[in-house]
Amino acid sequence: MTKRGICKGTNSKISWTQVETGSSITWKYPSVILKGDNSTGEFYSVAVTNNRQQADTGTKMLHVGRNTKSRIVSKGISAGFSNNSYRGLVQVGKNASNARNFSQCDSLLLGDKCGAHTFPYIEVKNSTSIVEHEATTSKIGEDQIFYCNQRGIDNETAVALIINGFAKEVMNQLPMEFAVEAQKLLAISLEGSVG
Amino acid sequence: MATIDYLEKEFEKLQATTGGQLSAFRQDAFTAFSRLGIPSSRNEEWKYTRVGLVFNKTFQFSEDDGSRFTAADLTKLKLPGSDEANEIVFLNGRFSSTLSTLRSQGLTLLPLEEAAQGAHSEFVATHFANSSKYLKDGINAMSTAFLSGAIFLDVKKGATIDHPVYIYNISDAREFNVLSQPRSLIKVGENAQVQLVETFVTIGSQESFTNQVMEMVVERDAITEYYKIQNDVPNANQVSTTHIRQTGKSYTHAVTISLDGGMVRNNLNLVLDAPNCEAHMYGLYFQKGKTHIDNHTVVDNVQPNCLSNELYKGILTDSATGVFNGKIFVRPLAQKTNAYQSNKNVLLSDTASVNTKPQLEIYADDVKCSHGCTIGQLDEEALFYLQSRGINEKRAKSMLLHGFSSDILEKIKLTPIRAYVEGLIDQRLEFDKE
Amino acid sequence: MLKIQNLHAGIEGKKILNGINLEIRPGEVHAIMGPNGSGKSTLASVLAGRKEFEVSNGTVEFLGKDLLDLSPEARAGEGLFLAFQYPIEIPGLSTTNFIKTAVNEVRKYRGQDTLDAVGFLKLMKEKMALMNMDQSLLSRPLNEGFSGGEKKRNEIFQMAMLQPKLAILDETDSGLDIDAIRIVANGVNKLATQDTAVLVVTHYQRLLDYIVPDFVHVLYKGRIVKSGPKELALELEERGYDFIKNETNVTEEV
Repeated sequence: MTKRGICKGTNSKISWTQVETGSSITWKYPSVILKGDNSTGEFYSVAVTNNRQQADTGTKMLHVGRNTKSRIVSKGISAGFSNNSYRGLVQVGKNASNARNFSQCDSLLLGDKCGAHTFPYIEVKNSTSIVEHEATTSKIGEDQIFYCNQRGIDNETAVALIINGFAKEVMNQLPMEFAVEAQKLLAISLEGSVG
Repeated sequence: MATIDYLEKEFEKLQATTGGQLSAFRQDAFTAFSRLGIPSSRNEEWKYTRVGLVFNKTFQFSEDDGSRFTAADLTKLKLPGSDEANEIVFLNGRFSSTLSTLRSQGLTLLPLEEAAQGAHSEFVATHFANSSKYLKDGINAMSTAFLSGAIFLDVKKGATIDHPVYIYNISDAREFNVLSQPRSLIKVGENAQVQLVETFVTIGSQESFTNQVMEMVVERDAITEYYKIQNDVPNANQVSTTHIRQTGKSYTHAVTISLDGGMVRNNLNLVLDAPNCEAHMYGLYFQKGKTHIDNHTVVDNVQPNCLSNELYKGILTDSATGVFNGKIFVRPLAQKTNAYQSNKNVLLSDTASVNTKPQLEIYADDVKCSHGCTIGQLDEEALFYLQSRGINEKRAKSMLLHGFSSDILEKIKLTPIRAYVEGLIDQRLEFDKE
Repeated sequence: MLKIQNLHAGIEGKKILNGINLEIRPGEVHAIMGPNGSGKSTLASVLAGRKEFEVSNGTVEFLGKDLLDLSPEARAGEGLFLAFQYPIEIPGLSTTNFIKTAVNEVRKYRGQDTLDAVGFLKLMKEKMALMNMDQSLLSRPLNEGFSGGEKKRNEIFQMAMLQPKLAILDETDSGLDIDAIRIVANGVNKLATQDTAVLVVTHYQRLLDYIVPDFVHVLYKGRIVKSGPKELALELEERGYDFIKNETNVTEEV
């Protein structure tokens, strides 16, 4: 599945937010072309994989106009034997002076049989631009759960706390009624994955 | 290169007159130096810092029997707080016992040759020239080949050193271009705590080239703070290499402040060689004129559960050039490594430039690493905001730059040193205000 | 309060604790010292209920209950607190949210009403002042990117929030400079009452200058080989652990 948006006018803005808990194999890359001066593109994504699911998500931010800004926040949660990949392209064209991009790709692994992969591509052709990239991968294992236990928190509560905290930045972008639904989805798709 | 011919003759003289435990090191290193030479810009590690250019001029070692540079000269150069501090002085690259003073219990300071024979012989044999890779790097080889007047400092196991240790690297360039190679080996023993401050001073109008190498070993549960303050004159060039090897779970806090000098290259290499080590590295460079500052850092995560955190900030104006190269290695064993790195630069003129290159090599799969770098101008919007509140442009700029530097300055935990550096920066910002 | 009798425990078939006997009464401060690998941290882990460790023999009674029979979270509920030697990082979970959940789970266990947002905030403000805690630390993910010192301070802060009966401090001093040790020790001392007890596990004497023990025990090869008043810690620091090793060799030969 591919979606594409274009910010043609000045000061225009496109924001994608997606929550994936889905099918056995998923590919999804919405992209944004920032053509108008001062336009803004945002991409917020949570992708959850469990069992033997494969998810491949990402985005393209193409900076064409001046003073264009983009922000990418991608959160991948992998459990079971699943694999979760992020692929992102940030392109700053020759005329895109003062372009700014901030990308953050965080992966959370539950257990040690699953995988997370990030493939950031950054192409910058304008020296006045600022492009920042941050990536983290962390694992939730028995140590973390025991730490919660020692403070009086049982296993299920601990996992729910961790997942919701991890995905919060993206969930906050959703309208309230969707956020509640999405949170339930997260909990269901990860049931029984730790502990 | 005239200096190279000179060095060959000097080496023969040195080997003929000085024997001892360490002469085999000198021989090996000189062979390596002859093969490697001074690194050229074809060497990836030296791409942006053409150290060879400095050597087109003639430099010589300088012997001083204490008649030329005196205690009175030293007094004029001292850092604030030195009345209470332990002071170690290198004059033209050689340790000067007459100018040095130890005031705290728990410190042992010995000429390296002596340490190589006594109770510390095993430690010296294990760690001297171990981290410095003198067989691979021409500049390090040069330091080891001409080893003379080096020191060994032991911070005793369990000791909390009550006053900081100030290390002065002084080059007396009043008569000719002087080549100084201060060299030290430092052991911070188990559960010991120490603060080290190092500075570089060139006097006279000729040029200096300081090629300094420090190897420090930090043992289990030790806490080390290390401050490098560089505010030398434009005719002073230096390569300052600091190797820190944490051999037990321990804590290191390093701050490098570079405000002036000719060509300055810093190598800060950390090896986290035990689980649960923690290292913080901060740097601030603020360069003007035609000065050149190059900070190369390496964090080598060998063992699991270590934390390293690195933040370097730079302000460059006029035609100054800056280089930042930060490497992080995470070895296969080093699971649960946390490594953070950030480099932020502000360019104040069109002719100032900076090259920044973060580099991560990760061979373990359960790690958290992040790196980021920015190069920008002063934030126009912030500037405008301040101006709209009635603050004139120059004042507003200096306020913003002050803010930019402050999160590094507050990492200097020694109050007199922090006040001193803040003063230097304020002065420079005042100057920009005119 | 705590009564350990003939405790044997190990991991993956390797025996580490070989018959520990120790009794701690309310109001007391005990210190356990010993060389590396003597079993200090294992003892702390076994008391807190870490699964990897198997108890092969012995009993542990805590406030009249069989401690070894309880889950880790029930032990916390009963009032046992372990300040971890290496506090665990949990990405994505804010420190405040973690502590709030813990406080309320523990309150539920103890049959107390759970705290609402206002009540929790009030308690937190009070304890933050005690520990010189920085507000910004609490909004960050739990222990993530914290320096060693910040982690240790956060442990004692959690202790203040959970108000345990028995606090076990596992090498809380390691990685702390003198100023940080003072803050942490000060926090621990302020929390101590007639009804609570502290077990300090440490390799060095330095922390015991600030948290003064009533008893010092030396652990060696999984057994307490020597107990004494606080001066024993000073003696250990001066003479090193070798003298214990030598002494115990002698007794083994006799």
